[in-house]
Amino acid sequence: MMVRLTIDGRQIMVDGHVNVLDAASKLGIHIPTFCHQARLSDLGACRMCLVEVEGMGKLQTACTLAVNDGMVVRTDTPRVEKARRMMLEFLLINHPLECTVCDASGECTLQDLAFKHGSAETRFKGKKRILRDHIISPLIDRNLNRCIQCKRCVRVCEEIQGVTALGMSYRGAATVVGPFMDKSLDCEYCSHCIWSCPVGAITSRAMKHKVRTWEMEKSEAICPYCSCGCTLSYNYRDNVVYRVTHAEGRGLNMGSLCSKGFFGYDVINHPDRITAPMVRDADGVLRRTTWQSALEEVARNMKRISRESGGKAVGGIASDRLTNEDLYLFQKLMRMVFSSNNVDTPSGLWSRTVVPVLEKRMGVRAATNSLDDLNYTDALLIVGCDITVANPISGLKVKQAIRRGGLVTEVNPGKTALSRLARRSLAVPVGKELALVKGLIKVILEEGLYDSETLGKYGKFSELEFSVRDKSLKEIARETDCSVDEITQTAREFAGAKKASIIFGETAVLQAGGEKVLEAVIDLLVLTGKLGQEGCGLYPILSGTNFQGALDMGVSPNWLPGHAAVSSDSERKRVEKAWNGKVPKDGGKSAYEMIQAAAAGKLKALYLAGVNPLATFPGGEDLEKALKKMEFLVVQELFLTDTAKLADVVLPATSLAEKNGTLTNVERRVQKTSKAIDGLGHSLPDWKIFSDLGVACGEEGMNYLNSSEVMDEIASVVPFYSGINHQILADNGLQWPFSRDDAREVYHEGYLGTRHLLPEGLSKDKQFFAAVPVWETHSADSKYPMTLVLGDLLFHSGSFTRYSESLNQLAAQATLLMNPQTGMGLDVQDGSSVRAVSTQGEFTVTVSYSEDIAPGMLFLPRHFKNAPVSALMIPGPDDQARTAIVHVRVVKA
Amino acid sequence: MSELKILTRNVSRPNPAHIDSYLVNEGYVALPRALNEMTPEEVIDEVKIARLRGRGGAGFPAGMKWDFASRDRRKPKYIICNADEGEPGTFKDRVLIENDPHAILEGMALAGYAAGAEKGFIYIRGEYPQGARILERAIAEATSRSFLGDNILNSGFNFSVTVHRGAGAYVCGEETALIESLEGKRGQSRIRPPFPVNVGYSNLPTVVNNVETLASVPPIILRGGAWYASIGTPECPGTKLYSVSGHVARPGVYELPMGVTLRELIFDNAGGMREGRTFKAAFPGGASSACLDESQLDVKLDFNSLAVAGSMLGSGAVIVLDDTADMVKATHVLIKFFEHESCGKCTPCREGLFWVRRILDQILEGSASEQDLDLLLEICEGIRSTSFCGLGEASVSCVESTIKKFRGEYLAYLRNSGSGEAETEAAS
Amino acid sequence: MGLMTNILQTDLIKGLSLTIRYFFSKPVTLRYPEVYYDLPERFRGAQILKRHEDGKERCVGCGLCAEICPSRAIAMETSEGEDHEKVVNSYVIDLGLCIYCGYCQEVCPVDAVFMGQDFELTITDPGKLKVTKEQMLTKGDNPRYDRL
Repeated sequence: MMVRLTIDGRQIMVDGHVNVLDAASKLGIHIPTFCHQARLSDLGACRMCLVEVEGMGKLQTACTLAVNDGMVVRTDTPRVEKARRMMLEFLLINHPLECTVCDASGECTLQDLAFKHGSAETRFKGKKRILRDHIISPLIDRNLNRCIQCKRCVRVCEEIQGVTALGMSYRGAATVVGPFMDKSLDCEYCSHCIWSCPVGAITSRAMKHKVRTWEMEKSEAICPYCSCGCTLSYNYRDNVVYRVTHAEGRGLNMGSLCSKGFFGYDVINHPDRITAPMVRDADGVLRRTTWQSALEEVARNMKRISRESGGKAVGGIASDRLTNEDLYLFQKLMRMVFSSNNVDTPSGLWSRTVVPVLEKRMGVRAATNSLDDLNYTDALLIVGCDITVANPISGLKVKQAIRRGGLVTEVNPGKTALSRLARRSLAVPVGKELALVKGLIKVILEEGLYDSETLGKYGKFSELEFSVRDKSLKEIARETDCSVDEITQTAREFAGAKKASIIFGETAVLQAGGEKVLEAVIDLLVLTGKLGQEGCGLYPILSGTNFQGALDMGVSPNWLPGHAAVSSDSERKRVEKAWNGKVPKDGGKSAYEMIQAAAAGKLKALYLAGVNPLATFPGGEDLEKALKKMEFLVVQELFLTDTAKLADVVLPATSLAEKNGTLTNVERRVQKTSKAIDGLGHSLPDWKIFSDLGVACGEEGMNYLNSSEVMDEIASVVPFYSGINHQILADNGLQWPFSRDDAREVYHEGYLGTRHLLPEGLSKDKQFFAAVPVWETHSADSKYPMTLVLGDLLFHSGSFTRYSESLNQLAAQATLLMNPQTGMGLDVQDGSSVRAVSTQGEFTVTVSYSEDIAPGMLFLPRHFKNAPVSALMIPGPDDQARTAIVHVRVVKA
Repeated sequence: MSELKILTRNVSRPNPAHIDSYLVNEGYVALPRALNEMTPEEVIDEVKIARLRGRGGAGFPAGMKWDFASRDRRKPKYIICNADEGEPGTFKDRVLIENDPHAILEGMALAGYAAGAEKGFIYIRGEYPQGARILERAIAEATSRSFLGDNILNSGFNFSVTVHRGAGAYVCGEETALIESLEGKRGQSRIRPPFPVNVGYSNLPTVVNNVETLASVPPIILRGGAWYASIGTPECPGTKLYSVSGHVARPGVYELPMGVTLRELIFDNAGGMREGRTFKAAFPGGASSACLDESQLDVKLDFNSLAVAGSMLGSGAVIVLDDTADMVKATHVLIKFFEHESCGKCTPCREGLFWVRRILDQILEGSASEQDLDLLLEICEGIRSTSFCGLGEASVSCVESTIKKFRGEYLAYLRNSGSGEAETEAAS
Repeated sequence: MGLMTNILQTDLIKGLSLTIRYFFSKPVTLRYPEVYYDLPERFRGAQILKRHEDGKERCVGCGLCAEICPSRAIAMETSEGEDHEKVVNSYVIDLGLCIYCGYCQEVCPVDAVFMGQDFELTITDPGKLKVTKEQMLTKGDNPRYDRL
């Protein structure tokens, strides 16, 4: 319902649910406020937004006053002005006048409003209230005396982040904000409190006293740390990034960030960054040199090996942290210049296990829906994924759904940050996820909860029924450590919800036989008809920043740009025509296969762009041997990593803050990220290095002026990117498939590309059930009875963030997490050292007890040097090598 | 005017809190009558006819409140008995809680029947441990005799009551803060509207009534609303419990028809002033009401008359001060109370009261000037007109009224830089 | 008239009388550098930094001088100290850029930076025009700035 009201003599029509404050801002009338913030509940506490309303005696707070038809509001009367001045005078009696050293100075609401409405003098005499304060956290600084008790931090912590780490204690003028019992802060370091604080009461210690707010320039970019693709703002001065700020209301994150995005920027200007190319000299020492000589060295050797031993002896692995432009040129360089299809990314395993199933079953190669849909989902099933870690901002959307009453069921080997909030958290042992999903299918079939339209298309579900026949619900419940009730309720909620989705993650799929779980999950979606519409779909989530882009750009041994098969002659011809060059016919090797080929001496030259295999790849010592055996190794990196130390040539690349380009996030959204600062030293953007190298190899087709030019070529080669260019992405990301025709639509308000796939449902040839006959993906070997989950911590992203001092303050060392019960059984104490032994290798690590881990399970973060997970993981052909789950034996050290 | 014992009818009986004592004197007669013979609407109508006004302080008609709640379609609904009697000078609810708990329970059950609620809470202030024990025993007694619990007296009506003890915050006497506290949150007022009758406990329709209001209900149902309306003044019918404290000969709780004058209350009932002393001022509605001086002794103590006189009835806590009282010090004591009890949510109450107290400190120390008195009034006006809830609004009336009526005493402090005390004594 | 003037050379006499008068009066020019001109109190020379009486620097590192400086002559690096206070790591004024407008003194909220009396800034190495915090503090310790 629209209502008409008058504010300061000007009329406006607004929606009836709007408050006066927002209505006024639509007219461009700024009503000052402290405690009101978009997305937070109304409080009406600061009394700064008082306005005069005709017919109401008292002044009213605009933030809590709902508009009414015919309402007449005045925001500029002497009475209002007097009240504002009074409120500022009240707030300033106890607010310390230390703007000179306060880090919020320059962007402090109290400072601004006091300047605008306040009086220059105080009538308050005597001593201010002084509260005792102490350091509550290594990264978040609290200053109680500056606090104006607006409760924004408390509300944002509870309502957006769902953590409730901050609260108010005591009363009146002694009210203080802080963690429980004023101990140290135990939270997710999402930084929302820093963002929401209108004064300098909560600030970032990472930039404490280092810089003044007005000295910095801001530049919007895309966060480099996960596949969510959040928009953030780099704040820099003199080519140094001093902080990251939230880009209010921007991007799919609406400004929200997580700990990595907010605090992880110190990697950019890290003192250890490589700033000049290095070439190994005759003495075997890496020496700084010029770009020209370094590139010539690379070009000469790569060309030579390619010529002498064939393209198959050359390979390249690029990080999925690179931009689409970087990745596109990388594979173009490898394919066209070095005649090799040996190109891959560390997330290639995902592309070879999950993507083919998605393709086979649904004809898509990405998440079907938008992340925004998660906000409004009625029922959500999360299988094998800690969404709050893999994609923290998608996690926030799930938390919003929960606040709206969405029924979320989590199926994970351990507890996550969502467990406390979700409707249900099922701790299903690794390997039994399949049984649980089949259990849900069984309930839906038995109770007739399936979608009638699906039934109409299929006639009957005999195949599926047959596959779930041989186990009773009771047996399934026993195997999955759940109750029959939990399974039936979950099934009913999921089938009964109007909007229901499934999030599917690494833990479930990156284990032996993991794709069977995915098959069953798709069966469940098809059976219940939860596909192809807003709010209904499948989200396969991997945390690698640009894993989707890497796949789209063809950084894959078997796929060319645009998901075109290398084996297809017509597709290859199309790409060759666009490139005016040759693409080798045979499929290439995956990343692990390349390492194996290297060990066998078949692969002689390897180009690593932003990849540190020694930290993240399986193989341990064998891997190191293989890399050392390499005839020619190029590492293009930001830091001199362990792998880079083995290289023949090290090329300094730039971080995402130092280059322009595009990234494709987990929901297929192509977004532009912009350069904030110039590349440090002589470092160059990756696309530029590939381009220059191509030219150094004598290939003029590799000559590009800027990344925008590369994007234009991508748009001409990748069909579903056609029409995308840097200009069109300037303000908003676009979800592919996107065509040239859509480009015209972009300027229509709110057009963001294809929000969900499969609007017509599954095509005829996809209408079948996998009806997985087995009940478990794999079983543990009795010699290695413990299941070790290798996963991410909220505070780190791969091995890259190890360079962040701030994030290291939150987590710097790996500890092996186990349930106290497990520990007791093994006679291992909290804090003691153990040896973890797998079929592949072993290392020693400290144990730490955690109730969040299910008994019999172990968890180890894979970021840290002190626990080289590489040693435990089993290398091998893709179907055996799984990077998320390892079976181990734990022995007291 | 002499005492009329309706609410306090059982107080002087032996073992008054016991259910048997209550049953002897027409106890639990109104409830079965309502359940068997009346519809919920008829119960509401009866209370409306009685024109029973809430005794917590605001004087909102109880019948209307019940009516609003009964019209709300959402279920379940709740009845909350506000027994968080925290206003300085008020101790009337305690008398009822400790001596006639069953009247409160019967009133709650009737309110529940009328409004369509099956669950009641008694939010009792933490400083009344004995009262909480008595109420809990009374609930057990009433439940065992089927006056509470499931299927009360085979009528099909269920109503259970839980006692919740507060944690010592004055602001939790405010109904929305009480509900927040009851939900386990920090005791701070909520935004109104929506009002608790629609969005209350757990965001469901909730009736919050004072102890005295609820205890008035059984007699109304028993004898009819018309009978009740004939007592007291036409606008404010019924009897009222007045808690008289301060410099009177016989402080205590007096039940008198509404509309009794201050003079009648003090001199006819409370035994007049202490020996040899004369009346100076009285706060008719506890610490948060504006004071009355000698010229206002004939003001009627009901909602409307006191509002006209610039004060308020509040909970009927009459604090009487005689000629030995130092009004500045008295005000300082009251402001210290409010500063301590301010919940800290809104700026004017939190920071303003801190400032007011500082200025009063300075006046007492003798380091203030006459401009500070004007500043004080300006701050008070600011607090009163912009505070979030009633606490802030009412907190400064003691300062404003004493400056208005006893400005001389303030000036004496200002002039004599610290030695004002002697001056005041001499002046009076 | 003209003839008389010419004959009597009155102009010459007038001129000579002035010369003679000044010959015997006190000279206006100074024999710099042997002798120094007494600078006015508000002379704007190279900046100095003042300390508190206890020897601590007055400057709190608020950065307002750097912000207001029209020729961007001031560069400042600050960080968090051991007691979580703000520490000024470096404070450099490039006198080659400075236009001696005195805004830095005007804007300083803690009376730390002042325009000093030092005007002898001629040097042969332009790099030395960058004056550090320590140099300015030493200058500020000169007793002639005690009144500030």
